[in-house]
Amino acid sequence: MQNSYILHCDDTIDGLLTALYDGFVIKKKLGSSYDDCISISIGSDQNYSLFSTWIEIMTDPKKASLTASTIYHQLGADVYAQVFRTLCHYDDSRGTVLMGFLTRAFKEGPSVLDHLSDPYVMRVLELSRKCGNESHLFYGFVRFTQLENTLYSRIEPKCNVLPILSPHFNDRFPKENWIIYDVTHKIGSVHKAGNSWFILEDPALLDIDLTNHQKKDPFHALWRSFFQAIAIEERENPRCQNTLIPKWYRRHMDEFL
Amino acid sequence: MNTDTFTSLSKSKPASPHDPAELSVCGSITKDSMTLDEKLAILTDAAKYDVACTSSGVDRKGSGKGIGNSQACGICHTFAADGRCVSLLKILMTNECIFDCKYCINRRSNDVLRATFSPDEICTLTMEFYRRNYIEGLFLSSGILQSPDHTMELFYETLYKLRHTYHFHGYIHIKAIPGGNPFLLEQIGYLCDRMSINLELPTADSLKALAPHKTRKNILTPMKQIQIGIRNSRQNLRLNGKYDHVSMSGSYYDRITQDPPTAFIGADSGKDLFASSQTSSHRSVTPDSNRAFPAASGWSLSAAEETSLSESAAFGTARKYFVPAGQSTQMIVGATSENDYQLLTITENLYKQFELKRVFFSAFIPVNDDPALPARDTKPPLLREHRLYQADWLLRFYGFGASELLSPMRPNFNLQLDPKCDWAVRHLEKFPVEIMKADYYELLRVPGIGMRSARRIVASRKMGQLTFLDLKKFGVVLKRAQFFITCNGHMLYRIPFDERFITNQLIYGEKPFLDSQGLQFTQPTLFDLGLS
Repeated sequence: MQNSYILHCDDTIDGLLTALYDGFVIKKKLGSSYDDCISISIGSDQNYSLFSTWIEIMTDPKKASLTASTIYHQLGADVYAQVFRTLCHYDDSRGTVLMGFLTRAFKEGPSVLDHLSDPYVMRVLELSRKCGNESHLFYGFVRFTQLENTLYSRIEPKCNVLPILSPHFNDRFPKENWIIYDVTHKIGSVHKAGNSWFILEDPALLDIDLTNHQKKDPFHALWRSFFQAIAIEERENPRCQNTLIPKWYRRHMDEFL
Repeated sequence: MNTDTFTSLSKSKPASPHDPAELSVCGSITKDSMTLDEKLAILTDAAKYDVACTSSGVDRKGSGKGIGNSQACGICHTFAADGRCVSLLKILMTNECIFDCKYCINRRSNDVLRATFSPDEICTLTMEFYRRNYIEGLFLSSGILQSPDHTMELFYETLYKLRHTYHFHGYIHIKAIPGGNPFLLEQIGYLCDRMSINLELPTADSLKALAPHKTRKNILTPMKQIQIGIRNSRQNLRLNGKYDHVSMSGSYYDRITQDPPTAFIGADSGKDLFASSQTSSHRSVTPDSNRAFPAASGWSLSAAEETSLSESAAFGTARKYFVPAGQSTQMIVGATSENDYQLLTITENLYKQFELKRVFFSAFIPVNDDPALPARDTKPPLLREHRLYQADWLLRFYGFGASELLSPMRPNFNLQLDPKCDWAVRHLEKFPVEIMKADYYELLRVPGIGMRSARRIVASRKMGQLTFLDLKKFGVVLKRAQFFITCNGHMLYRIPFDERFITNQLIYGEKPFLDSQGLQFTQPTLFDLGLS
């Protein structure tokens, strides 16, 4: 049995990609009989374990972008999309899972995605699906409020959905100034009319109280009355509604406030 | 748009001019100045009985200039208290109507509050809701104001303004008005994404009884015209596969706005609109004559009606997308005495002969007192509607035929079992199927296996043996599938392979599903069997 390694990195996409880069450097040193002995621990999760080497990873954007482009060019857009969505999930084991998945992927090529009975592959697909589903719901559940010249939205997602949401809203509202603030991860996506979007990590600047703005906006009230009127009383079905839009999604949605 | 514009809009009078003679026919209460809020409440409430709220079927990138895009999978923006998805701003343009359909809340003999949106009000609402990401687009239906043509002109004006003045590139679903002018229908088809015409009632007899102003011909002719248009347009675009959806680049709408507009003049000067129909008759593409309409079986147009369609053969041949997200329709379930077999056969014919994208079912909710209708306290047949939707999926995606699921001898669905299980227990000779060997379509017919899990099985079994545990992870519902499959030659449990046993397991093994009457199914006791 090989000595096991634990790589500890920041809870960011760049941090994880750096850890994966360094993981593969170590794996190469270990030679051909590699048996998934490298695991990646993220952020505050610091479970030292006996008989293993603990390595601190310094986030390095260069290594991160190199990892990302290698995955994209060697394994194709499908695998890249799955890996990217897995990176955006909140599960603590996602680093270790990706390490195992990529080990197999570089051996098998893009067809690795068909190996559904392999636990690493299945897990990556599960995490990626969960994250993809959540961001798909947020395409619809984001609610903008009109500030003076900006559309502002607060969301409280479980996964880090902003990198997935932003291109969609960039395409949809190219001529608007908009901000989507992610309360969970304390980051915001900022878009200036006619320009591209970027991620800003400055909660003091991004966190805005919306109550007064919503009261002033006539369309806020119009939307609430539309939402009341569109339901058919005879078919009322709260259980179905709760399944389709679980309550934690509703925290920042105008019609449920 | 700022608050000033909004208040000025909401103060403005209902914009469309009424013919006093028409209004006296309409049993209506109109208020002179109604706020936008009041109108929205009335016209949403009146539109809620339309089922479709889908925003799917077309991919359109943003243009970088206007506002909006569209995704083929569709996006739900919220879910109302009845559990239905809200994706589009579903409103009527007006609830005034010259028709008197017995089941409809807006029929002219009803004494209800009437309101009408002006095209600009609809545009403002759509744009402002869209900017706040409340909606994916607009679903516009309407009562019939003055005449079908006048109503369609107002539709055209609204859509033209939305697309060209407001540069809106989101989703638009239009409910076409039966009996409207074909040229208007075609022009609207170039501006919207999906069009639908409600079939309302499944047979000509019940249509006659409940909707005296609508005829089968008035409904089917535009449906056929839209089909021809979609077919021509898809041929131009080289989209051959049945499930290929239209993908538009962002620059698409820029290009058509540069084209000389096909005559937008506005609702008040409809004559010019029709004048241009002559000038645009030099179209070069002729429809494929080999693809004649399939033979009629009870629900298609007669030969005489088809000849009147020949003039619309050039529908959709302008160099534009015509109804890119396809056509749908809606039927009322439970207002008249048709059985499930009739409904499902008609549905199948609509898919085959009219190439519809979806057929929606609407459980009848009595809103009017009328001797021709079920009593006011009748509960909507929700479970029946649910079974019809399940069967509709089996028709569209699982390769089933209507006559496999039901027959004149068994005309209604089993309320206790879903249609696929019901079919499977009656065809045990086809089961059990072996997971490692059965082809995709055999797998699709197993209860508990859907399209996604069947695809996963087919992809991954090449890589190695599958176990029941793997199947569970793939999303196969073993609770149902276990009775019909073997994995490496073995079933999950040793069970008697017997119709009665499996039926009982399927029904009582899970929680009993209550139907709308609160009917509950219980295990018979010794008393029931007379053995005490």
